[in-house]
Amino acid sequence: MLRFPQFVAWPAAAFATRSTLEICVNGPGASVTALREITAGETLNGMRLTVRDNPSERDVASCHVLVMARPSRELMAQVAHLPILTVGDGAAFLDDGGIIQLKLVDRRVRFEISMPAAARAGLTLSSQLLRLAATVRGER
Amino acid sequence: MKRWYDALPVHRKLVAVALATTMLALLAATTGLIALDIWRYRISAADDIRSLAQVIAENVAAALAFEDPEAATETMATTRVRPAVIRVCLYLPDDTLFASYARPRSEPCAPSPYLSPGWSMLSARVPVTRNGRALGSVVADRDLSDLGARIAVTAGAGLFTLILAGGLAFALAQRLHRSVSTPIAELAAAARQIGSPSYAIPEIHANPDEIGELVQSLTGMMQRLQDANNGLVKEIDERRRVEAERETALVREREAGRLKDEFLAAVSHELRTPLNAIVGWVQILKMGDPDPDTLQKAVATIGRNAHAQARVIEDLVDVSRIVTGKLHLRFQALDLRLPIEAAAELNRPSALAKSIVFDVRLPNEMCYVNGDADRLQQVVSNLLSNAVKFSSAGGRIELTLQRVEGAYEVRVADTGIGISADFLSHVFERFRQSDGSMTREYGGLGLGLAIVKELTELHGGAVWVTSGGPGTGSQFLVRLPALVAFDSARAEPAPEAALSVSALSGVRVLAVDDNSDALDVLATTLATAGASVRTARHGREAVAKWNEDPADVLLCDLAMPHMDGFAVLAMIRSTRSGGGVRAIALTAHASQDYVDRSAAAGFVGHIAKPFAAAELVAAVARAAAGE
Repeated sequence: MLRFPQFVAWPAAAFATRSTLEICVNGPGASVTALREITAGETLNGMRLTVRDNPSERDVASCHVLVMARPSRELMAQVAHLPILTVGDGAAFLDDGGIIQLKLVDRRVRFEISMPAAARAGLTLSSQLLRLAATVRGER
Repeated sequence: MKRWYDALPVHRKLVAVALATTMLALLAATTGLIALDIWRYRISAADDIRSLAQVIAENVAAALAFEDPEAATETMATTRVRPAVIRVCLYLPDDTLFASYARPRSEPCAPSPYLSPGWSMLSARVPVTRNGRALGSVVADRDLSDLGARIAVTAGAGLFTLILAGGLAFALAQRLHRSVSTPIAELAAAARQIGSPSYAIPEIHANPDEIGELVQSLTGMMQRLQDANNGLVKEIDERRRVEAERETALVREREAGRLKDEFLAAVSHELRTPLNAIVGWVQILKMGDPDPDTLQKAVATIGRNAHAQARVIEDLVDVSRIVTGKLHLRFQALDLRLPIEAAAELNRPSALAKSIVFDVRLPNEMCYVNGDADRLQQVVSNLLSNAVKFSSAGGRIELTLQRVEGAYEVRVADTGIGISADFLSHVFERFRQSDGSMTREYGGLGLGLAIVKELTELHGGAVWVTSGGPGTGSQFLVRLPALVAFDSARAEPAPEAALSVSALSGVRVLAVDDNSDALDVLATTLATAGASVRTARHGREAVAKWNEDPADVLLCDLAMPHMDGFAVLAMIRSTRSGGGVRAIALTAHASQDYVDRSAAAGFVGHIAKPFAAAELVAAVARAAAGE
């Protein structure tokens, strides 16, 4: 989960007032705890990583990365136009407007990317990331 | 090598130097270029592998982050388009091998990062980071295999340049060396020629540089050498010439000295021989009363010998006159037969005495020439007496006169001892006798033939001699130009003055001579001819005797001490009775100069001593008669 931000560029406004990269987790608390452990003390481009658990609908706009264990249509629609990298593992995550969908292939984690969703969110994905992706939707 | 180079001609040296210089410079430049190329190549190869590793590192970050070795390998395998890249190895942060690419047939990646050192390989290690996070590292190795090709290209270009520049340098040197080497070669060739035979240097064209100076100074030097040599040669020639002249002059002088000695010996001999006879007979006469026969013989012998002596002296005087150019001929038209007959008559007795046949053949008609009768007679007489002298008893002498075109030829041939071929060309030289020794068989001064030649030439004629050699006789030929248009009336020979006892009867003569013997002879001769003679021994006595009693004729020697003949005549003329004196000069100086001087002084006649009695009497007679 920490690796994706390294290959994603947010619009400058997304970090206008903050010096932390907020990773929000919408799902069971166990994964939040695990994530917290991983990110403790980590920085990305000099920014501290913070992990927020189940942010409110009001707060979700301040997230940079939104990991959705249980994707809800409402939330998806809410963040669709915000500069938020949405990562999920549901089979129809990309169909629901997600940007990166994780899946397990040969016991290895692979991912799919939806370029239209990334473009809606105003995010730029690294070509390396696109190359690593199992599939990329909406590629021109 | 050095010896080989040293012996090269200059133009080869110049070309060789130009070539060697060019080659060396180009070789150095090419080597430098190759070294520089290698250096730059290594730098660029190092940059290359570093930037390659960099690019790989950039591009494998995601693969590394997502631990996708296939993706990483795929990325790294893109370097296969670069054959120089041996391998690219991707290590995790803990230095374990994550992914690798290796060129076919080359070593795989080491399990941990390892930078291979060495000349043949360049390595670079670049960390893989993402947003400040270290993800691992890339190690890339490349070989220098393309260096060889590169060096080959550079070296080839260098070699090409070398050959091209070498050719150009050779061609250029071939052309340009001429301005240096041609004058040197020409100079060397000229220097080899020096002294054989000339020292001159041919024109050599050279630029106005040091070589030009060398050419100029050498040319100048050689010119000076040539001049000096010319001068030396000239001086040596001059010295040789002078030496040869001196040698010739010395020989001639020695010869002249020898001839003079011989001549003096001959003169004294010729003078002494008759003197012996004279002195001997005079002593016999002194001894007492000789009988008439003895007296007759004595007088004849003395007279003959005195004549012989007189002839010797006459010859000497003639030669002296000829030598000093004071011989004057009295030219007149005359019949050549007369002097020839006279000469023949003179020599006939001596020829007959030796039983020599004397054959004289003269033409019947007149043979006129312009000449001096006495001298022509002398010419023929000398030839005849010579012929008589050198002919032995029983011989034959032929004398012929004949007309040839425009000239008369007198030919005297004898059967005498002949003349050797060696001496033939010297026959007419003065003082020359074929036998100069003291024991010679034939007397004489050796002047006769010289006089013949001189006199003949003075007459405009020529004389030749031929002889078959010793013992074959000799032939003398005198040729005299004929006188063609001649009035025969003027050719009457002078009547021979006869000496008669009455020729001077009644003529009073005053004879003056400082030599008493000569005076006695004078007085006796004149008295014999009937003159009344008084004598004076010197000028004053003469003047005194004239004053006592004047004479009809004054006979006066010119050369006298205290008062000479000219003064005596002048004194006598100044006396009352001496104004019309008829004076005859007597002198041993028979030259024309004296004749002229005496005539100018008032002498009406001139008689040379020794005189012929008849001549003296005739002269006195003419003077007495007022002719």
